[in-house]
Amino acid sequence: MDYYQLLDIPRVASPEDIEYRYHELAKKYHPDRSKSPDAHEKFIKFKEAYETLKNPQKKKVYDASLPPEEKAMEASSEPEDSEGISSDSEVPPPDSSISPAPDQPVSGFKGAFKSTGISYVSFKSDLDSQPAGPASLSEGTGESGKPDWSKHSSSEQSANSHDRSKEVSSSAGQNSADWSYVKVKYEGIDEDIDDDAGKKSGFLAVFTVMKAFRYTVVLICLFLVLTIVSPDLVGAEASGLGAVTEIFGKVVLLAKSLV
Amino acid sequence: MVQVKGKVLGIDLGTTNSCVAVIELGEPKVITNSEGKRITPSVVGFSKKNELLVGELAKRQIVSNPENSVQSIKRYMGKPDYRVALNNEKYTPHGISSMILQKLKVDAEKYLGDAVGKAVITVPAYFNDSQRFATKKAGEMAGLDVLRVINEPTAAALAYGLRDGVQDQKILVYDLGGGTFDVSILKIKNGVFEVLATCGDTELGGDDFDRKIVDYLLSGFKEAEGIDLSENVEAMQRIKEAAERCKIDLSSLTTSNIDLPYISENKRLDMEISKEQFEAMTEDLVKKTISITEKALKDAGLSPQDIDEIILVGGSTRIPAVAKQVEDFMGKAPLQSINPDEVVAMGAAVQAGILGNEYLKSSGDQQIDGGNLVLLDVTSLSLGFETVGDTTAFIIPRNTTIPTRNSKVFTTHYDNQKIVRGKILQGEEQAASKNVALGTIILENIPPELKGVPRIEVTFDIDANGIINAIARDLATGNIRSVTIERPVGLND
Repeated sequence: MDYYQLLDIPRVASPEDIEYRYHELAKKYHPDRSKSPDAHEKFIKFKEAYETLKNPQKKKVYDASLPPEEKAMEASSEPEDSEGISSDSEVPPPDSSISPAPDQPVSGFKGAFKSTGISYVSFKSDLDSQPAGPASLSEGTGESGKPDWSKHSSSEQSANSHDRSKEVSSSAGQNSADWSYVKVKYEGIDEDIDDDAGKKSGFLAVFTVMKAFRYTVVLICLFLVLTIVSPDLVGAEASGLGAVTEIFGKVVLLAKSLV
Repeated sequence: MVQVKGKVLGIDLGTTNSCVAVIELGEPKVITNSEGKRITPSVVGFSKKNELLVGELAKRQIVSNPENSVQSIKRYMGKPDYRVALNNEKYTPHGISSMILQKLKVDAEKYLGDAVGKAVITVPAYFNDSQRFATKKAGEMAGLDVLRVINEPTAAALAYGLRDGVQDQKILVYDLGGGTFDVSILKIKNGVFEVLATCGDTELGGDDFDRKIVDYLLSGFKEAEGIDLSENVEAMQRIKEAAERCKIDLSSLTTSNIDLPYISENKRLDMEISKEQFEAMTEDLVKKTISITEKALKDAGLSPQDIDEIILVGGSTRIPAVAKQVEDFMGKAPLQSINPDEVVAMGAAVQAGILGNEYLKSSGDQQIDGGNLVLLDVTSLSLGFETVGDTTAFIIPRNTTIPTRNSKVFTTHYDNQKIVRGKILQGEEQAASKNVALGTIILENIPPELKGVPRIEVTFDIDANGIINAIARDLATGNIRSVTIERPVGLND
């Protein structure tokens, strides 16, 4: 578990966020505050994490030593899935998935998702141009991902990458079958990005204006009804009420036509 | 968290005076002693009729019965071989301190109308492990369960922090007491009191200011009458008291007259000291405190402008020259709005409240319970392990937040070495012999190897109480040797 996971904060957390989180944890887990017998251990771990992350230099070194991130929790909770993805899609990380250390496949998987934005785009275009070409696909993605990954892979891992690519081509037949799954995964991750794009698009802007207009009309109607009803409440005449319903009906019709 | 039932006392066991406070209705309140005073002199003595006297009564008889009176015992705390002869018996420093604590406890029980069994006791931040241990021991001997030994400047910060609100600020506590000097820098944010750095001198305090006046009087008398009074116990006691009074006078007057008739047979000591003279005499002492303050700021990585509030603690900060020097150095007027003799005890009561999760009231509408506060203190002295050539390998540097743990890997220094032995050291010196040895780690049965091959990991662990644990582990065999610091025999009496 890395320091960010330990403190339960995103890697992009600001120094203020990190400090605030540490203070919260200190108030909960400092042995002065916690009855739990492992409070001492817990607090020492939080403190160690905080002391690294609060110091800009130490943080930089530590961040560089971390495997690329994102969706790390999912990866570790669904180990089979992660394996499936890495071996089938042949995104850069597969190099590491066969490294001897048991933790490596997971971190490799994280690598794939680290470069969400970029590799997603390249992925899609590959797919469009060559719909079922697993071999070229593995090549293309391999290239796009490699520079990123090489920073993090140890020498053993890179040595293994050769064997890996052989294995890839041998299992090429399987690739296309699992594509849909990979795509779904990526789409999930890219949700935020899609949202942002949507807001900027002209169509959505028009839609929003329409919506606002509709609400304004309804509000005006309600206001009208109220101004007519209140004198009626004083007079309490049935004919008045009738007039009100009539006007109301008209207003509703008007509103409908407008919308 | 400690389960706390009943009141917990916050005790400032000072070099010259002690004070007790307790949380009442969410606020720290100072307890008056059986003489009706808010502070109790840290003096113990036996009357000529063999009665034990503590506090005001003991102080009163020092002049008439100096050989059966003890004062400033705190200066000897934690020295295993130091004994005080009183009433034909020998007492340890913590034994004497326990008599003071006993009186404070009895008086507090009288005030509260209830039995009290627990306390938080303060010590100078710069006290080492043995001195802290001796203080805790004194509490136990007085029948008190010592929940926590906390640092005096930190306690003062808690008292101010609770009163003025726990918003975002950095404070510097300048604590010049009767016998010790401490500086601590804290950051208060989100209800967390985090000590950034602490520094001090356990042998610098108001007593040293008195000493300067005493020396001046002695040399003046010798010059005038040709008599050296320094061997005359009774005369010395009178001069010491006069010097203290003179120092206090000079906080508000420009000159002070010392008139001691019959100081030596029919000779009279009659001298005058002006404020300027006193300030010139004690200038070096004040300068020393400023340079320690500078060091603490450097350790915290801050400059004087970064400090939002300066707090003066300890009776000696009443000396105008001291307050002025601090103000000049920091570029800001210091706060002294809580009585500097009482603020430490009040802070100790606040910490007791935090430990007991009691309701605590802060400034204005800010109502908080103990659960919203926590104190993150530091270890004020570095902790290391003795290695070849009388050198210290530091494992936990000073100003590390506690609880903490750290380890370093060591190796053998000759072929087929079977045993590794080294002292656990506390202090800042590179030379191992100049630091305080807290105990020894011996790891046996190391498999024979060439020198430099075995890997022995030494881990130090400090808990929230400041208790140190040491573990040595042979990484090849997995052999473990765990050592809880053993105290010198003298401290266990």
